[in-house]
Amino acid sequence: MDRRRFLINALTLSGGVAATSVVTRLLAEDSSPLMSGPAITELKSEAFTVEQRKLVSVIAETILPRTDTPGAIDAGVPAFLENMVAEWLTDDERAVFFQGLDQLEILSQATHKTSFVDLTQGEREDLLEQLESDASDSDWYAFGNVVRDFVPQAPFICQIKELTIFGFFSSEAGAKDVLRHNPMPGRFDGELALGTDESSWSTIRLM
Amino acid sequence: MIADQNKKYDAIVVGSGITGGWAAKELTEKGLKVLVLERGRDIQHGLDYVGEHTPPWKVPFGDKADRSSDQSEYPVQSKCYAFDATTKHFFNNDHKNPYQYPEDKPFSWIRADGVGGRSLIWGRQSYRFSAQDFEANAEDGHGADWPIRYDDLKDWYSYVELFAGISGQAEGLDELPDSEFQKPMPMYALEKTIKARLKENMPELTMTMGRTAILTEHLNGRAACHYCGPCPRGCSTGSYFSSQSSTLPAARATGNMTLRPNSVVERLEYDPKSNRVSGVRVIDAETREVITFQARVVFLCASTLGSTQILLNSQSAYFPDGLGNSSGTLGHYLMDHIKIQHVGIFADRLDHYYEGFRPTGTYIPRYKNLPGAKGESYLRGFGIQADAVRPDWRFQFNQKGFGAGLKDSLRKPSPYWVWNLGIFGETLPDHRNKVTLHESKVDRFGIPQLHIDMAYGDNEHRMARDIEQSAVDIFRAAGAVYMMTNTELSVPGHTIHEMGTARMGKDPNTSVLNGWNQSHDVPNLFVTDGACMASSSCVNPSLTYMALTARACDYAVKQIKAGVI
Repeated sequence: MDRRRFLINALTLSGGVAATSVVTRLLAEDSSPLMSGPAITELKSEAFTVEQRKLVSVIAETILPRTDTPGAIDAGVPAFLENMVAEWLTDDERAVFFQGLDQLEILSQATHKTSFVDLTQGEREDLLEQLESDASDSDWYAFGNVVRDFVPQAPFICQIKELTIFGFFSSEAGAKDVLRHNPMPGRFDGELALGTDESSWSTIRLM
Repeated sequence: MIADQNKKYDAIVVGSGITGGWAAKELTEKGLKVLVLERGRDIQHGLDYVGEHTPPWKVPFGDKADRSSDQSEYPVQSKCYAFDATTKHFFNNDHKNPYQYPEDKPFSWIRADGVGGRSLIWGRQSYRFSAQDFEANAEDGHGADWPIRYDDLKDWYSYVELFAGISGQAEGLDELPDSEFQKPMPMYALEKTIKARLKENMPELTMTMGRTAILTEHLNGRAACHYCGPCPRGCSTGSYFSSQSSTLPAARATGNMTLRPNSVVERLEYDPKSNRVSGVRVIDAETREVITFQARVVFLCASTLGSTQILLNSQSAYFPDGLGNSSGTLGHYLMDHIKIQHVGIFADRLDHYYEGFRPTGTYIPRYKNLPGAKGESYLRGFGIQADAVRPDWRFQFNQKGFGAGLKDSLRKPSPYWVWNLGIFGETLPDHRNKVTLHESKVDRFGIPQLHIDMAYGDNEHRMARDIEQSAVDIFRAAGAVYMMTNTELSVPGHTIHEMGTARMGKDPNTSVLNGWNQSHDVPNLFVTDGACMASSSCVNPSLTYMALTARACDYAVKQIKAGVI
């Protein structure tokens, strides 16, 4: 385990260390509230071909499928992913991402003689788990290696897993229908009972 | 109000952050016509809090760091805990606001030019210095003796606390005197468990609710906290103390304040005949027009390093090394707090959660090197900001697996609590830690850049070792199932408690300011921000700056009315 990394991440949750993130459109002089801007799941980007767009959607839905609550596609995660690939990944990371997409399709053809998008949920999960198993010595899986700093050397499966999870739990559907959304509590109770099936809050403190 | 160059003001206040806002309030309420000069842009209460209450799905890039912009525009500021997409507009662009430090001694200078300054993004922790803190320099010989004692400031603490609004719990401790409190915020179930265990296993410790400039009761038209969580985005209900929510409206209400943003103070002009500051030379950040304003008295409240930079740049034939620097100590004795973070994992109270996002933690006051206690291998002491967190999906997204099982696991709180200890240690005033004007590099206004040269010394490193051992002791006593502790000192400046460089003192030969925050050399010059500090205590210093500022304003106005200045 990377102890230093864990410390940083643990502290980030409590606001002890930088909770960094971004706004390309928010310049210092810009005074329009973020709240009136577009949702991260509504952004239009042109990073993918039609086939890639379909494949990415199916991967995202495989990672976080619709159950009795919305899945990744319901939540608009594919649009988020395309925007992140277009605007957020570095050139090197983007190359890893597209190569990974191609290799997943090759793996699907080799294993099932058909495209990943035509597989069952179970078959898709098996293939993603195979990629994950192959990647398991990556730093990305180190205990506590989460929260803020993206791992530039992360393999494709880690890239898409991380971005899918962030997009999903940050999305309006994820926040309201999967997590519990209570942005203006108006009170603090530090001893609320927690049922075994209850979700986390959708927002965090930033101190 | 439009600032009028030809008008003579009674007072000029440089800076509009925590101390500038207080100076503006106190001086205007005492009837002075005050010009407040702010080098950054105007930031309107509420209106310009453009990140406030942003829902997660509107935070760009899903709250992932904008690595490209952080690296090119905000390499220093982006390391601040309060910096993110929803707050970055309050921070300085590092690229446009350069400063220098020796290659092997990085210094993290967190800055928020703009009306309100760092009062918009501060941590809001508010603690009084103790009697021992004001006696420490005299006691162990490091630094110059403070010209004041706790009793000189006691009533001024009360005065500023009642206006600022401090929530917290009275404990009756000499080492952490109580403030005038609003009711404390409640503890988490885990914190109550830990508190009980510490009481049993380490009775020398006190664990109390964080003393915080956030309202738990309505005050002067400001609303009690609504527990939305991320304070540094700005608070339009005025629930935390900022210049915007508190002091500037009070100053404005008197009709005596003129606030001029985009006004970069280049230097103070000095008249040797009268021995007074005779003008404040300003560069308009938008038009680059150079204007000189005049007043009977000048308060520098431009932040610790900002105020000292102005004084250093105000050289004249009479003060070749910087205005008010006959002692030669201007720029020296820079301090910050060392801050060392430790993480404990707890398996207790997992069936308890919370509602509302409590914007403070708990506090364990200094318990080492107190009067009568056994001496440690180092001088001074440390205090602990302890914070409980129930991790969520952000803390477990790299778990293995896909599909419905992963989704269900990620949506629930993690099966453990984290209890972080942020341990803040007092640093000794040291002549070698200093700021100077860079000999050749200037900023975009042609003003020499600040060169900051600071490193922690032996005492801080010795204290760091005991800090780690103390963290281990506390985690054991508290019942942690796993802990990660360390001795790594924070980068100087990173704690954002920079203090000193124009210190107060009794002796004009060894200090810049007297016991009223007044220049020993130039009677109509006051410095009331962190630059004035003669020692650093281990507690967060802003509350002390507030009290010193209000006290200095009271004194200055009496001197003006008596015709002395």
